[in-house]
Amino acid sequence: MGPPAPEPEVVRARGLSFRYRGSGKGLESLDLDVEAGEVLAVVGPNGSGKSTLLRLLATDRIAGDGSLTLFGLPAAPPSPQLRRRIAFAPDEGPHLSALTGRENLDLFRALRGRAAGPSHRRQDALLEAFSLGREADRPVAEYSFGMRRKLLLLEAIAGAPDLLLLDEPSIGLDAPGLGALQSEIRSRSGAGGTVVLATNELRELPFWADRVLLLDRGRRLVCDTPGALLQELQGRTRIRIALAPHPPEWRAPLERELRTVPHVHAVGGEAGFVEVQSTAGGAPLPALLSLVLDAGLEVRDVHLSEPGLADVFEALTGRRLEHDDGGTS
Amino acid sequence: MIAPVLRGEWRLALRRRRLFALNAGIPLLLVLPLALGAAPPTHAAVVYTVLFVLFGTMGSAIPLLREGEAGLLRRMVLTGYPPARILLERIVAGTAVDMLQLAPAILLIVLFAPGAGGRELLLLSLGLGVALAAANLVGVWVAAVARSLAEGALFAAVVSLLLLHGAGVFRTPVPGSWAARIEPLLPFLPLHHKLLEITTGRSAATGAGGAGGGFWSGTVIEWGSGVSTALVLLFLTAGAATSIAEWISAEGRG
Repeated sequence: MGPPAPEPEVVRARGLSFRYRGSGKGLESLDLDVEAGEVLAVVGPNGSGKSTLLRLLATDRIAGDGSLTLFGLPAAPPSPQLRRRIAFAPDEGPHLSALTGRENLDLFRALRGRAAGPSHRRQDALLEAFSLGREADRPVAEYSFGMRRKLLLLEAIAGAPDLLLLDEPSIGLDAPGLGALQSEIRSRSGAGGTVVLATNELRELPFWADRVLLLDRGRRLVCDTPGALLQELQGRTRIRIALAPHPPEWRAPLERELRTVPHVHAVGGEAGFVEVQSTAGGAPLPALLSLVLDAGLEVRDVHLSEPGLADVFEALTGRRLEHDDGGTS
Repeated sequence: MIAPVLRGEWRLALRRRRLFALNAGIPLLLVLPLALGAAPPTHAAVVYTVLFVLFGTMGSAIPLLREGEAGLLRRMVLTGYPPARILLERIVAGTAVDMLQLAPAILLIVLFAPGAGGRELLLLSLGLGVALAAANLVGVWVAAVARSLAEGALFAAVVSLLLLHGAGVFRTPVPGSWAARIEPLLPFLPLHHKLLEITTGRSAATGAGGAGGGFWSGTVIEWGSGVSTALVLLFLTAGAATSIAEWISAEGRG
């Protein structure tokens, strides 16, 4: 008897495309492989195709072009057996609001098949971890936005799926909720489960992932580990100096002067602030401040930050991720 | 958990006490004046039949459309739970809840009918059960076709009235006619005939397709045909459940 056949990738997409009828936007020719036990963060501005990708993986949408296999099986037409292995927590979702949180959780666990779900004790532990334990027996109609969001996540997590899909999971979550979510994602991954999460949040969630897929206008920009993505920009500290209102004609000469400071890589900014990239951390700061003050400008605030995913996005597209308005969700 | 959707629907109906009380009370507002007043018994029976069938059709179509619009049905389908089971569990729960909510109304009808007793109540309940199950099934198809709650209400009313017309509710039976042969195929006829018998105090069974058979053979054919048609509709709904669930929960259908 030969060695056992290797497990197929959990997700294998080739040339995956989907267009919404009205806007024509969606996803274009995406290639992607996701292994068992992997955590993938999908990051991009509104309209970049994050939610569309998750919906395709959840078999909620059928691709217009290309191929998509999940656990080695074609995603279209979706079989109930395939769907039982996948749990999708959309960015918003309804509940049976006259029922309690626990009853909703029981319902979705049962719909997914009791065998696949955890014990009631584990369900109680999950409710406690997400600070819903005391509210579990209240009708969902009485829940706050954040509590509904937590319940939506728990309905997906509690089924212990092989592929967990989370769309903007941090929305509405408090600090304990975020901590519990991170711990659950790690635990699912440790148990061989795969997690794909889509997020607009750039500072924390993508760094929970093994790899980050950056999308822009439906296209794949890059997919790599967070460390590898940031390596290119290593040593590029961003120095942001907020200024009091000043005449616009003062700006160009000031920026020219700032560029002459040693270790300054790039100078930019908008009305009210200048932004400088430094290759030597905060070392150029005294010289920069001196030039600004000599120009007769009043400094309101100074902020130093290490490069992040927004800088990676900017380096690849020339646009800032936080201010992008390149499309619709 | 066995039949989670059925349990959820049942719990939901019992938890919404105000809605439950309204659904039980509003039919009484129509039934009470007819049962107490001097309405011609045949007309009263027609009104009761129309009321009960519309109750079932709309009670199935409107919540299903609302859940489709909200995305709840979609969430359920994506769990991998078979759409046929989702829909059929809803129909069973819906029929049971409708029966409970209409129980005061049929009790009232039997109570004020001359000479009606426990046997009439039992047969009327059976006829109502078959009619409500069929109406709930029709409601599922209405929800699949309608694109809004308003369309759902309109389609439910029109389709129910057409089917009731097909069942001969709005006309005097003409034995031997083609219409009389179709009438027993519609699962609303046993309910209507039972209501006619109770309100008029006379037998209403048409005989074998209106061909002049005896009372028992007529009754057996009427009930057998009605139940068979309801079962055919049930199998058709189960067979098309995946498509129906897709249609109801498709985004942007409005």
